[in-house]
Amino acid sequence: MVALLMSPWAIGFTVFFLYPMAASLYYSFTHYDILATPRWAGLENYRFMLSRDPDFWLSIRNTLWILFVGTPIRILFAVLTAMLLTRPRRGVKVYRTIFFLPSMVPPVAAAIGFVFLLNPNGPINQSLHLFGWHNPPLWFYQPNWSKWGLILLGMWGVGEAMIIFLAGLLDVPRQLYEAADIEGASGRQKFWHVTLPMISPVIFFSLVIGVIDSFQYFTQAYVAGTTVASSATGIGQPQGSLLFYSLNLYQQGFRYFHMGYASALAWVLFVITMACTILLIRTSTRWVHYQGGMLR
Amino acid sequence: MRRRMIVSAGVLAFVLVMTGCGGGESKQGAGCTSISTKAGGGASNEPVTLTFWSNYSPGREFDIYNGVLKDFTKQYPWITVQHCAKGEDQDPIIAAISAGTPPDAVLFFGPDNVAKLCQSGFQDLASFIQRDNVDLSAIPDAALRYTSYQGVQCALPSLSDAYGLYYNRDLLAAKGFKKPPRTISELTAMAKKLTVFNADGSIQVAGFIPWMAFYENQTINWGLAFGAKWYDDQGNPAIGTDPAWTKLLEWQKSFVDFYGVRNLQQFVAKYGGDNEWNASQAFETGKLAMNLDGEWRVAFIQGDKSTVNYGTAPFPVADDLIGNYGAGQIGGDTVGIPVGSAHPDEAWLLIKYLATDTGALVKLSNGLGNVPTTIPSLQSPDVTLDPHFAPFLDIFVHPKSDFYPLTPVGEYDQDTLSAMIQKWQAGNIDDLQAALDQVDQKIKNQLALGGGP
Repeated sequence: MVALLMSPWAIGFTVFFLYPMAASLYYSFTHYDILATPRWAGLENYRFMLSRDPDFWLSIRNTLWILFVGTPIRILFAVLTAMLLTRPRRGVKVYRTIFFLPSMVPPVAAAIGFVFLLNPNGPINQSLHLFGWHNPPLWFYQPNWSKWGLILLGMWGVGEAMIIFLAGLLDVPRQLYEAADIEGASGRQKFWHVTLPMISPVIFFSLVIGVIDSFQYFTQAYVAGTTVASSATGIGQPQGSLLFYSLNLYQQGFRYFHMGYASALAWVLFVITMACTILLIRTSTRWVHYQGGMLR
Repeated sequence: MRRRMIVSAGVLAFVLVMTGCGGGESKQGAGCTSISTKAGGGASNEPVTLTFWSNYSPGREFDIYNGVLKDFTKQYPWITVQHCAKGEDQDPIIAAISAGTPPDAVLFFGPDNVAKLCQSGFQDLASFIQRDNVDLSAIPDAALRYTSYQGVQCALPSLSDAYGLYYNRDLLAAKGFKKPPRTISELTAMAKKLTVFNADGSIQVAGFIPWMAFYENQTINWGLAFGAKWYDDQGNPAIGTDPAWTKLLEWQKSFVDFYGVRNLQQFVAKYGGDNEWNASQAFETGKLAMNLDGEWRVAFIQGDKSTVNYGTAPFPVADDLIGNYGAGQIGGDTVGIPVGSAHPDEAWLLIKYLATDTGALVKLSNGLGNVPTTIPSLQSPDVTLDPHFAPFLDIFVHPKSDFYPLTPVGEYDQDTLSAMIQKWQAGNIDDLQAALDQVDQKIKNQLALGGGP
């Protein structure tokens, strides 16, 4: 009976998860172009990745940038937005809805919208002109500004993280602030010694999700590059600045049909992501505080 | 084939097709139409339903194509063609071939994956061609080259693009020019005189935009204009060793610097991207005096109701290659029979019809505004295309016209060179030779990764 009840999950897990994972692991050790039978290549794909594919290292650099710059900015912006929205005032529900709404927009539509907004001749740059910035950034047309365009897009769609932080902030016991007030703590001290520790589990959660999302960063960069170029040749453009790890993987697998190599890239991505997540979980014992003690 | 559609228009067309109805065609499933001729002979043949997948999207062009398929079923009444519009992405079709569930026949836009398909995805057509005594001399050599790989003719051409120069007659006349340029030097000199800058230094009207990846400025057609080689006789990448590439890029950079990188980026941002496919296109709006483009632009100019007074001509060539003037990049639809096709004999009848039947090619060409791909169809008096189209017919048959050498890495070589040029034109490469050598090395590595050609 148990086996029968478990079977829908077991079948789904085997067919859609276990088998594809095992198959991609096997393909990562082969030359496989989708059409011909895979040929065993041993560690050749992994050697190629590390020694003969400059795009691999370029995509690593771009991905690390979005990880170390984009993720903290996104978390910080979500925390600040949530803090502003915790202050009781009239119409707070309306504000919360307004800040949450962008996260409901599909990523493809949002990215196309930002390509339009950040067009060098678009409304943002025209506004910057009015404010006296006569040579504003060319955003998705300039390699040193293109990632910042994506950061802005990420900040605009911060609603989901914001709502989690909002819940965390509202969950901080009032008596802790009252005790701090009695002790004469300043606003900054209350933030550092009460608010921050109490929302550290939420920050930890957002950080883990942010790291995983950064390594898998794809849709926004794909749409921005291909919309600007109006074709698939725009993947990673301008000048390779938006070639993130997942885009390089996609190109190798589905544009150049090096499915064996793409499988190797996927496994390296999996290992890196898993390692970072484990590292975060291990270090979290030092800085994440749970109400009522440590949860394991 | 460069027949891109705006997504919303595609979706709308899809809805219209799916809800419409018509004669001997019935809509079956997403994007599929079943075409047959009920009346007629064929008593000696068992009825066969042939699945035919193409890169078309539901809409006007799909319907035109189905009209030709209808003609095919009149000639072979026991065959029903189920034509499925799969959109421009080739991956799903290749995945179906890989999975052992291919359609009976396939039409791909563009020959980029022909080398790989000839290796293991498409059937060698030699036995069919020999059996039916198909005269391949009716097809220009270059078109046979881009539908074959290493001697295996695994596909055939059925309509092609041809690239040339569009020039604005009024703008040229205003500066005293009576003819379009024939050499790169003439193009450059004329473009500079035709360019008008605004008071703030930005570009009001551009003579010619020498910006890689803007509209159809791509590595293949630029390379042809300079006679640049992609691979040497041994099949090794030759981009770093053929001085023509250096010459091309030095010309381009000096031309870019005339405009200023930032000015060009702003012009490209304003008129590039999807604007290439609507009435805001710079040439159609008179903001660009001369432009490298495909033959399809003639239909776009009509469709967009542009009032531009224009002419068409072959694209200029490097000064020392004036003998090549008249040639240009060609390449277009390829039809083939996947390995595992359930009805290869009937599939052959279909692709033979689409690739060699003069009436079919003329009808497709007139309807779709592309170049027919056999000599008889090119010379047919039934071709009723706009007079602006004539130079493209000549470009297609010019002996120096070509696509570029196919390899199993598909578009990797183009993409890699194009990415390098985009850095170069922005002034972010100091050592051009080192950058070209690196492009060669990357291509070589990718070829080796796939186990070699």
